[in-house]
Amino acid sequence: MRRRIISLLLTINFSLLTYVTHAQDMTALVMKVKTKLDQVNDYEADGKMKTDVSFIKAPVGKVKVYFKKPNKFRLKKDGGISLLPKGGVSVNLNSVFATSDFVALAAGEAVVDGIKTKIVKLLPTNENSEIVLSTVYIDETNLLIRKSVTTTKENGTYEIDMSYGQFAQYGLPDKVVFSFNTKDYKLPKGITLEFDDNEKKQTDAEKIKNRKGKVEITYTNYVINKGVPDAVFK
Amino acid sequence: MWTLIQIELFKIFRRPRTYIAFAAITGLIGIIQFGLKLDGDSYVEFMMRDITSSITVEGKVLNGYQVCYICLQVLLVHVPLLIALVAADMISGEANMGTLRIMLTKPISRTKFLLAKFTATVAYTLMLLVWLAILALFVNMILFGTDDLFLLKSEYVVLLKKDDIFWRYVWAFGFAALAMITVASLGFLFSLFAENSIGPIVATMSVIIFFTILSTLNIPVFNKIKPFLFTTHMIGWKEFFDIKVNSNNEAIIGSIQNPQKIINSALVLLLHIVGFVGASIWIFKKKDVLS
Amino acid sequence: MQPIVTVTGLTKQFKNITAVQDLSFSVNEGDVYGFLGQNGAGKSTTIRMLLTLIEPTNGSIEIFGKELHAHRNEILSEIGAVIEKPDVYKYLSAYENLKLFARLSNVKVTEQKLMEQLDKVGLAHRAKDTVKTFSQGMKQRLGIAIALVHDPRLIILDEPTNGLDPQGIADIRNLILHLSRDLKKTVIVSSHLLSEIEQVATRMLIIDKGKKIIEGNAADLFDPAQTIVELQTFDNAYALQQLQLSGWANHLQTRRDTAVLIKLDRQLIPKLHRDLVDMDIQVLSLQPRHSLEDYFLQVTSGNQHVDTYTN
Repeated sequence: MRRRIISLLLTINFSLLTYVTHAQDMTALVMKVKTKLDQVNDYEADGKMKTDVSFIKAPVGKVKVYFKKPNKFRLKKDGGISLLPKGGVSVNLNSVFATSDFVALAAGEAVVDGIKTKIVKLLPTNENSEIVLSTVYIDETNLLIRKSVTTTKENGTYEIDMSYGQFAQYGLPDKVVFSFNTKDYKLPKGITLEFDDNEKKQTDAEKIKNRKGKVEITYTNYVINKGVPDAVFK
Repeated sequence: MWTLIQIELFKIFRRPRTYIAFAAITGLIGIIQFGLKLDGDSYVEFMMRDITSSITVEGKVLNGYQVCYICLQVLLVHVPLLIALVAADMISGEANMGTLRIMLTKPISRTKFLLAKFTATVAYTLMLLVWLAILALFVNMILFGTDDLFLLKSEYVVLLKKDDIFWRYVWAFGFAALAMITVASLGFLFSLFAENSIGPIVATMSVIIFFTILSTLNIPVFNKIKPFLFTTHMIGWKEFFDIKVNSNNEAIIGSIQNPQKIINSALVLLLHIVGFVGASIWIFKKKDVLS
Repeated sequence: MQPIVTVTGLTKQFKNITAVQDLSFSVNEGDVYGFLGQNGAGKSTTIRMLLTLIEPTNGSIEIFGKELHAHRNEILSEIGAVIEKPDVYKYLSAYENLKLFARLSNVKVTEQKLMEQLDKVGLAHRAKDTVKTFSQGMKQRLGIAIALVHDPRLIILDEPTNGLDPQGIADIRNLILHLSRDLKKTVIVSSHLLSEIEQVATRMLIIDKGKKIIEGNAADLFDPAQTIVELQTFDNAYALQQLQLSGWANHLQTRRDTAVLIKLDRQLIPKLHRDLVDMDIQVLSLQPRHSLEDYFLQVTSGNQHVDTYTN
C-alpha cells in the first residue's frame, strides 16, 4: 500500500499529462512537462521518510524508492515498520485517470514557495470517479509541478507539495510532502492497560492535535536510468 | 548476616512452592509465544483494529520486542500475585511450620533475621524477573527476531526504532523490579500477622487487585486517590516506551517523554518499600511469638 | 550452687488475660528443673519469656547472671531449646536441618560432627532423608539434636514428650538423665504430667493459672513421710491468720482462696486436728493428699473445691 501512496504522487505527474486534453491552452504546458519527465526510464533513490500525524510519534526512517516506466513504483523501508495515512492511500489515482476523461481548466496563477505557477484544475467527467477535483500548480519556467490539491469523495482532501533541487532537470523532487486530514484516535485505557491521570496527557495531545497529518519524503540520492530489476516491484 | 541470607535463600530454593511462580511464568509466556507464533497475524489485526481505520501499518509488527511488550503488559499485572505467594509466606510460613520460634531462639537479633529474610525475598523477586526477562525478552528476540516496536497508547501511537529499544527494556525491567519489590515488601509485612500463609497471601493479592481496579477505573471520584495508590505507579515501566517529539512532531531517538514521571513513581515505590519494611521491623521487634 | 536462671516478679498480660502473674523462681546450675502445670497454666508463656519469644509485661529475668534483654544474643548462644512440637523444615533432610541451625548458632561444624550428633539421637542412617518422611519420635530426636548441636550450658525442653509413644517418652527421660549426670548440663523441662517429671527432676515448680503453687527440691516434695493436708473452713482467712500465729506457721504452703495447705509429717495430723479445734477454727474438711500426684492433680484440676475428692 505504501507503494500506492507514492505512486500516487508520481502518477499525478505522468497521468494527468496524458489525459488532460480538453482545455487546450493547458495541454501544451502539460505536454511539455510530460516530455521532460519522459527522459526518466527508471530510478532508484534513497530517502528519509517522516510521518507527522498528531497521534503518531515516530522517528524519521530511511527508505529506498524504486521507479520504472510506465508506473511501477516501490517504496522500501530498510527493515522496520512504517506508518502511512490511510485516507490518501485508498484512492487509486491510476484507475481514475485511466478510465475517465478530464476537463483541464486554467484557474489563474499563484505563487508557491516564492515561485510563480499556473493553476490547472482537473475535473473528472465520470460521475463515479473517486476524485471530485484536482488542482495542479505548474511552474511554467522550469516545467515542474510544485503542488497539487485533490479532493476525494470518501477520504477528504489531500495536498502534495514538491520541492526541487539538483534533480530538477529530470523533474524529480528532492522533497515531497503529502498532507491530509487526520481522524481522531483514541483507545480506551482498559485496552492499553494504562491508568495514569489523563489531565496532563490531554494537554499534551492537544498540542499536537488540530494539525494536518503529513508524510514527508526527502530524497538524498537518485540513480537515474541505470536499470532497476523487475523483481524489486514484487 | 551473609550466612543468614544464604540460609534463607537456601530455604527458598529448596521449597517446591518457589518454583510455582517460575513454572507459571514459563507456562504463560510459552502459551503466548505458541499462540503468537501460530496465529500472530490475527492477533496483530485485532490489536490494530482501531488504528487501521486511520493509518496503515506495514512491516514486521509482531517481532520479538513486540511480543516482549505483550508479555510484560499481560504478566506484570499478575506477577505480583506470584510474588505474594512467596513473600507473604516468609514469616507466616515459618510460624505455621513452627520453625519461627526455633529460629528466634538462636542468637540473632530479630532485625537482622527480618532483614535477611527480606533480602532473600528480594533476591527471589529479582530472580523471577531475570527469568521473565530471559523468556520474554531474549527468547522472544530469538524466536521472533528484532525490529521496530509499534505501540498503541491510549491517546497516540508510538513507533520506536529497533536500535532504540533494548536499553528501554533494561530500564523497564529495573523499574519492574522496584514495583515487584514493593509487592514483596507488602506481602512480607502481612506475613507477620498470621500463623498460616493463606491469610497473608490472600490479603496481599486482595490489596493488589483492589488497588489495581481502583487505579484502572476512570471514575472522577477515584482519580483523586490514584496518585496515592502504589499500583498506579507500578506500571511506570511503560513510560520508558514513550518517546519525546520535537517541534516537527519527529520522535527524538533515545528520549523519554516524561522522565520526571518515572522518577516520581520510582520514589513513591521506594517510599512504600521503606515504609513496609520499616513497619515490619518495628512490629516484629515487639511481637510475641506464640506459634 | 549458683543460680543459673533467676526470675523475679514475672508477669505477662495478653490483652485481658493474665497468663503469668508475679512469678518468681530460680534454677541452679546442674538442676533438672521440673516445671509443672496444666495445659494453659502459663508454662509455655514462661518458657517463651525465658527464650525471648515473648516480651514480659513486668518482672526480670536473669540468665547466667546477666539480664536477658540486654544480653540476649550472648545468653541465647548458650541455650538449646525444644519448644512443644519439634518443628523443623519438612522439605529439608535431617542433615540439612541440623547444619542450618548449627550455622545459626554460630558454630563451626564439620560434616563429621553433624553426623556424630545425628548418630547420638539415632538418626544417622536417615540423615539424607527429608523430614517429611519422619515419624513424630524421629522429628523429636532431630529437634533435640538441633537443641544440642552447639553444646549449650542450659537446655530448655518444653513438653518434650508430647505426642510420643511410651518408648519415646522413656528415651527422653534417659536423655535428660544423660544430659544432667554425664554432661553436667542444666535442664529445664516442662510437662503437664507429673509422672514424667518426678523421675528426673531435682527441683520442681508447680504453677496454676499463671501463679506459683509450690516450688521445692523434688526430694522434699516426694518425701513419703511428708504429706500435704488440705484444710477447708467456714472462714479460710481467719483460719490462715490463726495458723500463722501458731506453731504451724512453718508448715503453711501456698494459700488459696478456698483452702489452706499444710505440709506436715503424717503423724502430726491428729495434733493439727486438736489445735484447730483449740483455735476455734470451724473445719469443713481436713484431707490429706497421699502423694504429690494427687496433690498436683488437685491443685491444677481447675476445681477449687476439694469436697468431691475421694480416695
